[in-house]
Amino acid sequence: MLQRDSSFAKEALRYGLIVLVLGFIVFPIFWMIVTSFKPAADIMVSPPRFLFTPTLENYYHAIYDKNFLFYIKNTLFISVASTILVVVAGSLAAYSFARYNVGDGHILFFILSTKMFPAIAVILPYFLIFRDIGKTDAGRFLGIGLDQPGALIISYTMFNLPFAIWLLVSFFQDIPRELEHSARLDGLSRLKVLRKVVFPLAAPGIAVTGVFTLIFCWNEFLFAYILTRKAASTVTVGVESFFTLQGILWGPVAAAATISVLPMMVFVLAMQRYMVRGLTFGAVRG
Amino acid sequence: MSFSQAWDAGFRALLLYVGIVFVWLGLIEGLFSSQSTSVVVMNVVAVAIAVAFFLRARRRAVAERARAEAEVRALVEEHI
Repeated sequence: MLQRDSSFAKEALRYGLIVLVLGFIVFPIFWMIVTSFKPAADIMVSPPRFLFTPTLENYYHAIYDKNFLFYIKNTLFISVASTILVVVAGSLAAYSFARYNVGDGHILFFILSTKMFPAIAVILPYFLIFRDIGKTDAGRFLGIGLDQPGALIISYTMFNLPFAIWLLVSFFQDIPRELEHSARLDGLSRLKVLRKVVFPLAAPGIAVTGVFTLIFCWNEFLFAYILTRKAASTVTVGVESFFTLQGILWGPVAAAATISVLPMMVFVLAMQRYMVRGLTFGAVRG
Repeated sequence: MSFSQAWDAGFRALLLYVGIVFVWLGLIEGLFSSQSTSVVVMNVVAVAIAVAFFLRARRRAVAERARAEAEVRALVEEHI
C-alpha cells in the first residue's frame, strides 16, 4: 500500500513538473491571444481581467490601419524563397559530405563554426555589403540591397545553411551505400541515383529541415530590423512598428503577434506527424 | 490516452476555440441584437465544440491503443 502511494506521488510530481514547464511555454501564447481580443480599457489593468467583452477592433487596427497583411506577404515570400535555397543547397552539400567525405571533416566543422558567433557580430558587414550592392545596377535588378527582399533571402540562406547541412548529413549517412551501388549497376547516372534513390529515401529528413528553416526565417528579427526599412519588412518588424512615440499599442501588438504566429502554428501542427517521423528517421540503427 | 496525446488534443482544442471566436466575432455577432447574449452563446458553442473535439481525440486514442494491444496479443499467441 505504502509502495503504491509512493509511486503515485512520484507520478504526480513528474506530471506536475511537465505541466509546469509546458505552462511556462504556453502561457505567454495564451496571454497574447487573450489580450488581442480585449478592448483597450481592459488591457493594462491590475488585477488582470479574464472576463471581458471580446472584440476584433485590435485586429481591424492591425490589418486595415497598419496594413499588417503586407508584412505577412513579405515574410511568406522571403521565408519560402530562403527555405527553398537552403534545402536545395543544403541537400547537395550534405550529400557530398556524407558520401565523399569532402574536406576530411574539416570543412564540415568550419561550416558549423559559422553558427558559433551571434548574428549581431555579422550584421554590420552584411549591412555595408548590401548597401553597396544595392547601389549597383545588378543589385537593383536582382533586388539585392537595403530594404529589398533579396538581401534578407541571402542573409537567411547564409545563416541557416550550416544548420541544414549538419542536420541533413546524418540523414544521408543513414542511407545504405549498397542501394546507390545497385542503382549504378542498373545503369543510372550519379545525378539520377541522387534524384531517384537518395532524395526519396531522405525525404523525411529534407522535409523536417525545410520546416525548421521556414520557422527560423519566419521568426527572425535582427536581420529584418537592420536590413529593411519599409518595403521589405517582415512580420517581426511589423509588430515592432506598434511601439510608437505615444506609447505601446498593446492590443494591436497582441493582435499582430497572433496573426504572425497563427500561420506558422497551423503549419507546424499540420506537419507535426512528418516532423516526428523525420526526427526519428534512422534513430534506430541495425 | 497518454499524457502527451491529451496535451496535444487539448492544445488543438484551444486553437479550435480561438478559431471559433474569430469566426463568430467577424461573421456571426452582427446577427445578434445584444452583444452580451452573443458573447455567452459564442462561449457555449466554442466550449462545446472544443470539448467534443477533445473527446473525439480521446476516443480515437483509446481505440488505437486497444487495436495495438490486440495486435501484440495476437502476435504473442501466434509465437507461443
